[in-house]
Amino acid sequence: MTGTGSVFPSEFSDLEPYRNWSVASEVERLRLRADAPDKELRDFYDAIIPRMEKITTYLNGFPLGDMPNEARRLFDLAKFAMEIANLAENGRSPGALRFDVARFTPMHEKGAR
Amino acid sequence: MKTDMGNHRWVKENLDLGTDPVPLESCYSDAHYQLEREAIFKRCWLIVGRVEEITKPGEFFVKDLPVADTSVLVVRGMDGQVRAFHNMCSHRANKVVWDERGTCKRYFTCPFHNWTYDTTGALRFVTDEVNFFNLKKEELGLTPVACDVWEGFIFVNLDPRPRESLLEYMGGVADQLKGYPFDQMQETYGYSVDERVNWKVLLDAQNEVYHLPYLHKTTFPDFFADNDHRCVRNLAFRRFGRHCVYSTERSDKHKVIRAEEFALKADPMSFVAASTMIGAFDFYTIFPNSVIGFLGGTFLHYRLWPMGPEQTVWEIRLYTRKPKNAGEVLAQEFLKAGLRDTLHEDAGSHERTQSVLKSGAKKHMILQDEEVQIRFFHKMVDDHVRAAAG
Repeated sequence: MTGTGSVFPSEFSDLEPYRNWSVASEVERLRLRADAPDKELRDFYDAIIPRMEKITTYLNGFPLGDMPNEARRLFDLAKFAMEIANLAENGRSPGALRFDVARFTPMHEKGAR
Repeated sequence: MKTDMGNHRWVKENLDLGTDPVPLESCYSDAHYQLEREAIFKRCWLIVGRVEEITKPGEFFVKDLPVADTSVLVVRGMDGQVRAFHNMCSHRANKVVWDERGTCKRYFTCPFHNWTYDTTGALRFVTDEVNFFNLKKEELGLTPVACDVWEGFIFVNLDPRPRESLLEYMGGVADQLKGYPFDQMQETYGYSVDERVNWKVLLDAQNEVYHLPYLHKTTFPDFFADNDHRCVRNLAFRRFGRHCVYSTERSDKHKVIRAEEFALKADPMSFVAASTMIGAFDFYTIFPNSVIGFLGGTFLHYRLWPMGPEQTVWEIRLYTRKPKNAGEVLAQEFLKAGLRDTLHEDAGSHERTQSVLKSGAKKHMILQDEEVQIRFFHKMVDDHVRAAAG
């Protein structure tokens, strides 16, 4: 936690309402995406997308893999924005409801490879 | 190059493929599956990995290939050379290596009775050797499997005497892709999906762009050039022996969404098409069970591993340039999310198709001219099965 009480760096504390969507794994992001109402996801997308350049400039100041916790949380939140971009702009995939996305085992997160 | 939006273009260049409906029985029949195992999977060159997986001497991986009734051990020897062996002990045929990957210190030791082999496959040590009978250790090495490398892809061929070298097998594909910067790419994302589907049904679902505006209407709706009736047309379809490529041109009607606009700026290289590319999306079917699909500055690699006539493990890998900063990671996350969601929609369609095939209610699939790739692939499967039958 920083002095502002935000889990994110102070200049991004306006994204605080979305802190629960800052999660470290793709599997978790997909679960959150599946469960959240479309409108909430669109509101989040509309809030974060205009800030993406500033977020990137901030995050690019740290080496990958060596970010302070609040930067890492902001990075994870921005990844969630990328996960939901098509849904927010084009609508939820009707097909996605009919095949359990958990069956796509992400090899890049298993640590086995 | 501009896409010719006319009808019936490919049939004229591919008269041997004809225009008849294509039978579906081979997509569920166990008898046909057994023929494919012998004629295709035990005779063709198969991609089992990339050289980046085993860069140091002693590094190895194991690829179980139930479709070919074996498990293959691939190792970079102490001399730096990549070799493959049946993962099977000469003593009593147990698997010598039980781990999926790792590094050996010069030797592989079978955990069953401690028989020990070096990285060239030679048998170096037998426990209680004096108590065996006429043991000829020099003839009891691991059984080699033909192994060769093309552009960093490690291939094996389970035929004890492959009919062609790997380069002969790849033919024109190798010429077309010469100069692609494979060595600058890394496997950034990967998925493994175990599906109740025949391997050919899985490939067919990917092997055309006719379905994009419909099945993928929210995930990949307007990316490729279409005609006045909103029907996508291929920019190119080329055959290279038993392999082929189709290519599509980017549509000027594509709506760039805001996250994409961000990604384009954050990691432009991921969107710049390589000089070896024909169009915006080049999809190579490397017979029998691999696909290499180039999209902008990235490429996809699929491997389809049959587990039975109606079960396939779909291995999906997305290669990108190694991201240097958070912005590039986010851009690649955007690309990955779109692709994964598209493939996720495809996976549903694979299993829905397979679930009704055996009813026999439809005995053929009806293909249009833009599905020529599917027609070609099924002909290649048939040709191999027939040739093996003599």
